[in-house]
Amino acid sequence: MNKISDIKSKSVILKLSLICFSFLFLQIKLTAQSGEEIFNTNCTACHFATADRLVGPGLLGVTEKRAQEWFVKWVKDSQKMVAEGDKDAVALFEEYQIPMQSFEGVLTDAEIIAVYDYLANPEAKPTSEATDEVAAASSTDDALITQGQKVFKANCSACHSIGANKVVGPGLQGINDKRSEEWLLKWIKNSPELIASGDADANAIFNEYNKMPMPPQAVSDEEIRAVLAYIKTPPGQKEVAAEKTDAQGTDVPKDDNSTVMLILLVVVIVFAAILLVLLNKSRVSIAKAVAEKTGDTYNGPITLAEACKHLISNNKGIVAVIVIILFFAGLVDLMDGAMQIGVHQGYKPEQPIKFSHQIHAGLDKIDCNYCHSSARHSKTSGIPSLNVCMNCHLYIKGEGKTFTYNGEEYPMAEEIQKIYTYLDFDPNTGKYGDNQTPVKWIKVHNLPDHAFFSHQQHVTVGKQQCQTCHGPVQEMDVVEQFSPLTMGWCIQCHKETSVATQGNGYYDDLHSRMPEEFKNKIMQDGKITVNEIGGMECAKCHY
Amino acid sequence: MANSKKYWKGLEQLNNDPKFLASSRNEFPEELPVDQFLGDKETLENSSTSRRDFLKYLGFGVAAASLAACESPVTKAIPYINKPEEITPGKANYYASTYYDGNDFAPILVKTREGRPIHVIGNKESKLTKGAINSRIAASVLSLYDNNRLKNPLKNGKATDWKTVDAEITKAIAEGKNIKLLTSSLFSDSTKQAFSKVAGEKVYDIQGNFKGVKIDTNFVEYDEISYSGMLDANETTFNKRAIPTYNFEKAKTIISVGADFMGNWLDTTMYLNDYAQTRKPDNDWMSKHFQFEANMSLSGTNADVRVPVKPSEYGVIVANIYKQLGGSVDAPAANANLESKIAAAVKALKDAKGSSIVICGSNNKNIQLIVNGINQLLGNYGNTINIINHSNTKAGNDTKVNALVEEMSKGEVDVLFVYGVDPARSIGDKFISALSKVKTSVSFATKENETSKLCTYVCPDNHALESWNDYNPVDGYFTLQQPTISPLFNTRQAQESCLKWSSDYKNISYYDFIKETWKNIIFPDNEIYTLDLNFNEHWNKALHDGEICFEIPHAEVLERTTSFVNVTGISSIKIDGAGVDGDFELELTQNASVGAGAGADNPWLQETPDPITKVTWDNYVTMHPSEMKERGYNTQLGQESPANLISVTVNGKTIDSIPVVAQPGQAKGTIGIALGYGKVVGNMAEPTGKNAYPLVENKDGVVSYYVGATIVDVAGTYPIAATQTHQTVMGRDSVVRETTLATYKKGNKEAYNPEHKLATHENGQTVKKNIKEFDLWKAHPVENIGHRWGMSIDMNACIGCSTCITSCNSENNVPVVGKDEVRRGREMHWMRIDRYYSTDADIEDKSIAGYRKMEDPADNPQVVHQPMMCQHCNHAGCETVCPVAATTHSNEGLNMMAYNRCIGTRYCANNCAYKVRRFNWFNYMAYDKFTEINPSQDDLGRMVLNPDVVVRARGVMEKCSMCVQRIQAGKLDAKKAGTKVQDGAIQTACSASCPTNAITFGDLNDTTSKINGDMNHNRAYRVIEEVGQQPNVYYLTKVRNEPQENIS
Repeated sequence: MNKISDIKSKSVILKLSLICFSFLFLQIKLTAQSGEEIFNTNCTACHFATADRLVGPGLLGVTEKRAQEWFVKWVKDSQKMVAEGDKDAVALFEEYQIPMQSFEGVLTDAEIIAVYDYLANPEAKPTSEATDEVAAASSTDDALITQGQKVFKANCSACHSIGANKVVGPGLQGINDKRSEEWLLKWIKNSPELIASGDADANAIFNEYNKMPMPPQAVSDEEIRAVLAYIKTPPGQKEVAAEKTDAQGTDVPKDDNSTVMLILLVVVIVFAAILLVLLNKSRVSIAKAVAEKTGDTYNGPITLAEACKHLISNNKGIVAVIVIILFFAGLVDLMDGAMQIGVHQGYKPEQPIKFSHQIHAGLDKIDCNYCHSSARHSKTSGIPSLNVCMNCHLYIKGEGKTFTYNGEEYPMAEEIQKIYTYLDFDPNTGKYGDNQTPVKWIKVHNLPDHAFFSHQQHVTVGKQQCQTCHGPVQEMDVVEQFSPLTMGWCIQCHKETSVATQGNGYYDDLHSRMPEEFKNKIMQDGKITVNEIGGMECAKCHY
Repeated sequence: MANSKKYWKGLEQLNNDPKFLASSRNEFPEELPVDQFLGDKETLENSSTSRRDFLKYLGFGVAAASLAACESPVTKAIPYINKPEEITPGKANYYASTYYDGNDFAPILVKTREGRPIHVIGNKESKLTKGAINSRIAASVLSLYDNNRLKNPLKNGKATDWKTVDAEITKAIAEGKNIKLLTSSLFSDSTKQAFSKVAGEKVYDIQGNFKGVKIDTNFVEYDEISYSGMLDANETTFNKRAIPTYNFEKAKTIISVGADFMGNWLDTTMYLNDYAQTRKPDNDWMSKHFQFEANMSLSGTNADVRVPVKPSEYGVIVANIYKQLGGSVDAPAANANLESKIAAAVKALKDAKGSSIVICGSNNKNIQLIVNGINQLLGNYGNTINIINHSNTKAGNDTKVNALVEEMSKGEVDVLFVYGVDPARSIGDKFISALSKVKTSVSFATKENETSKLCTYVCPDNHALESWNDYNPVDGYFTLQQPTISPLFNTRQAQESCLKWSSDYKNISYYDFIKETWKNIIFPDNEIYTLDLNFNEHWNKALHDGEICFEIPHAEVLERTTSFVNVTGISSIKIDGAGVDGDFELELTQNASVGAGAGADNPWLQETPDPITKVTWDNYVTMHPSEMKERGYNTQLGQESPANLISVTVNGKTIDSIPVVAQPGQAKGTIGIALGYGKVVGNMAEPTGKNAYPLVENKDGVVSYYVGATIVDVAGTYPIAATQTHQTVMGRDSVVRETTLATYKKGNKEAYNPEHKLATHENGQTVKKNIKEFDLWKAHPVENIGHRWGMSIDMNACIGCSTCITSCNSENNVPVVGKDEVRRGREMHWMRIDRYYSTDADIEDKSIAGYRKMEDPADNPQVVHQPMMCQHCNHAGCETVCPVAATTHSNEGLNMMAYNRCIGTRYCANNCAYKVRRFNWFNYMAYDKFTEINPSQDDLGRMVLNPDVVVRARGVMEKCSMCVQRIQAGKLDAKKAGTKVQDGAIQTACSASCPTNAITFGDLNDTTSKINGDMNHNRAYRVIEEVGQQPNVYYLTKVRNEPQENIS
């Protein structure tokens, strides 16, 4: 069964991830990087600086084709441009069908321009700063490996892994033993030339990979040597472990305030109880002493319970008032409780794949509509089918990476592997098997059958943000029901929200027929709310 | 008042039967079914459960239920693994396809949701039918999800696999010398080609080498409803064994002798829309329609002049018309009454030479020859009747069928394939005994039928919605059928099976085969390649449109047709006007919803009331009421007055215990029985109705539906499930408005559609004021503000076919309630078609003839069909009485129903002036009483439900919502496109399916819309407008084109 997790722990994780996120953000902001470096860290997952296509188009000559201004706009939010109907943008989108992720907030204008300048002349020597860095790094082995890792990630990882598994090209484990360094240098810098020269090994590989040439890489011999060193001795487990301790180091203390307060409260209560018993004892002994002095015998209450009884019997009025107050308070509480029946705000079931919206929608800034594409043109927002996942995860395998899900750390590759298992996909051969099974996700937002809700009405026509109802999904690693989804909640919004009539011919037509007095009546408060055009009528949602 | 006619719904009302009067005051004629919930009194008294225990259980029940409600079930959401490009969950796709079941044909549009077909309407773009369908086609989507379909191939009645079947049949074909195919009319080139691969006649050269196969020489085409006599006559006249196409659009005079061309005669879907175009009184001319017939048919109810005659008189009428037009024929004299009607008909024909149509429903070759002669004398060929672009839908040949049965009984047939027909049922014993002599018999039935039970192998065919096919219903016009769902069961299309069994086409799919046929035969034959397009472009366009039409210039048609027709030898025909043996002349007919039998096992169709008798779930004998009284039969309908049972014997064959129903307008001395019944519906134990096919006579090698019958009373009675007597209009006189064309053309609106005036007292004087000036309710602004959805129904175009009812059931998930519940008046249909009979009984005709007519108004009543559904009153009576505000008014003019709010007081139904609200008595989706008949009780049957409409729970009121789900969807589309809602873009299920476009839906506030024009039309009125409820449904006064002089 599903566990509905505690809402509080979620908020802690939220805060935590926010902090982590802002750190990342700051780091990016603080370090000034050259265009090439920015390109390598942000763009190479999908683009080559050459004319070859990877996920997106090769960027050779992009500066001649597009203006700088256009380029900046595109990189920041390509979808917006497509939506605005920019001709080039639309053409590009139609050609590739995959929207480019938005870099708004990730890269500044200046950084994008740096990338643009770099792309204008990618063959140019790296800036002196960078060369210095390389030179300095290569002074020691460790530094060489680190540099190799960097170069590998920037240039090679799109197609190769350092293990034995095949990505686009072959896995590179043991490449140092198989081929001479000289051969490798030639191959990496210009493989077609090597093939053309009739080299037997080169031709063998070329044929093995269905004559798909490896694009010539614009790297120096130094860098290739660094990469080779890295492949030979990858940082491996040590580093992952280090990263883990790092992550724990930055973790905020686990025990939160509420537990402390709880303990404090218990202590206070126990203390008060003890005090009460002691006080009662001294009261009784004082009373006894007073009675002795006056010669009477003390026959008042002795134990604490007797004292309470005595107190109650002497103050019946107050007790009655308290009872009445308690009764009504209980009634109100019961009613509140009853109103919550069937309301699953905060419902947060565990899904078959630990899919983190925080990573996809938050960090990667993938537009919600990219996966939930039918939200724009259907009643349902649609749960993406696995082929949508594969658009990216054909390349992104998350090896060696971890992520946080419901407060715990999980290896990324394992979850991505689940997609492959469902699809019966072999990442090494890149082939799909026949034993494909669908993912049985657990539905988080359940509207009753008799309520008709249309996403397209709200998203496309009403121009509502997904977050209005679904909350800050981009911050949730486990998605939960943010809004109560009760009828009262719907109606509240329909009462307040003004209709997006601007520039919509449908509303213009309706308004043009409307008599003035009626128009004035509606426009008294300066806006047309959904309610005013019949958005609260039964048959708008129930039929 | 618009006219002084008296309207009555049933004989009970006409005769002011006291029982009827009492029951008509009850909205719900039945007592509450308390016993069914609590058990009878005895069990209740014997029960040990005390009141105290009951309360305990109740308390526990409530607590348990509320506790269970707190734990909500986990709902799974399972996306596609690989989403097909064209499917978006939540959005419907439409595919153009074709429906053909051996009897009905129509180009259709199939609505699918997430890959499930859920609704079928006519293809409005079709050049042939203009979107006309009938209720059988609309309901065909339900039979796709029939759990009783054959799910595996059968060998000797036992399930087996395709491999075994394929191997054995291939062997039988190879060994068999005489291979025959008995099929429904085949007008699909690809099907013929595919079948010829196994059943074609093998041709050898002199040396004995195999040369190939001849197409269709071994095919025996067989129509269960035979038109063989007509085809034979046409072969003589046109030298072509074909049915012509009739262009009703140009027909100013239509004479039909016993042919129900709106219900069941030939290609009704091709005629309906055209016919309706000629019935518009605002056009330059309006057609005149004469109908001579024995049974009251759908066409008869719409005729301007209907003459009840015996079937034996059909020949007399036809011969007399021919004679009076100047033809030479030996015509027996007609009786005096008939004589005058014939004269009127002939006059009308002479007035419209070259633009008239004369048709006859007889299957007698001689009679049809005379009809051809008449049409030739009138110069109709080439004008209204086209024999060049003839219809191919009926090609059955009774002589050939008889020859085949003969051949079979001699044991000469080695392999027999049966496709699309059920001859064991329709031919009967003769066929059954002959079939036993056939070595290997193969049936392609989709559902077990009487023939398939007797066949060696059953290779179940796919349902039409799972199949590829092409059709050539009319020369020069082709349609395509495409699957809208993968086969649900282990079935295979018959054509595909044949390809599998052939030697050369084993590995070719039928889809590729069709494409090959089109590429190599159809396109080259029709010279399509002269256009500069390649095959794929043509193919894709045809597939998208569902049809492709190669038209031939009209002038050429005329010229070629006239030279074609050769009517000789009529003068030698001897028409026998004498009646037949027996007590009555029986005309075997077909019901509008069940047809020849295709709809007999479909619960939606069984529950659709017959358009005229309003009887559901049964066939019956129709008889004239006065003759029933003579014989002492009960002439009333309903649970409380059950029908008498009789047995009908024809030529020694008897159907036993069939109820008799009174049919005003039935020709005296005749009775009628509908064919097609007697099949098992759903999981019912007993078949529904009686199979009347054994009564069909085989006269001179041709099937005849007019026979002499002897009837005998049978003990016992049978309660008929009829809907008509329920929900009367309480004698209000503003329900139906009707006038004659002459009155209408005079242009005085007061004469035919007067406004309602109410007398009021003002300043000491009586003033008559328009009804619009009175109002009980506070003004609710409706004009010019937002939308105001409304409907108009042209009573001149409505023919009462009931397609809208079936379509509404399909769209709105209306439950099937079964025979027993209909008897109690608990049918759930959201719309009904009220059928009113009218007479001139209280007309101010003081002549003797006028008085005589008053004696028996049921002799030949006129009929009005009036679709009735929620009128969406702006000042609705139902809304003000609802104690929980479950039914309220929207600012778009809709009367809304919130089921979750409804507590089932039924006040609204009591206060509704139109009696259109339905109370949901049972949990039809689960209650075991409905398991047998309600298709939604199994998982498969539920797949037909429309996901956009909620399935109502027990205890709520429901009614027509004017397809609010479609309105909302249409508005949303307009908002997304940023334009106004285009007129006609939103259609309700009924308006979309109406074959004659009688129903118009739209925005009354949109001044450019068609409905706005209808609202302000001179003929427009609202039903019971005088009570001031201001409905949003407008009816257009019916105008009859009655002859000027009194011809009766």
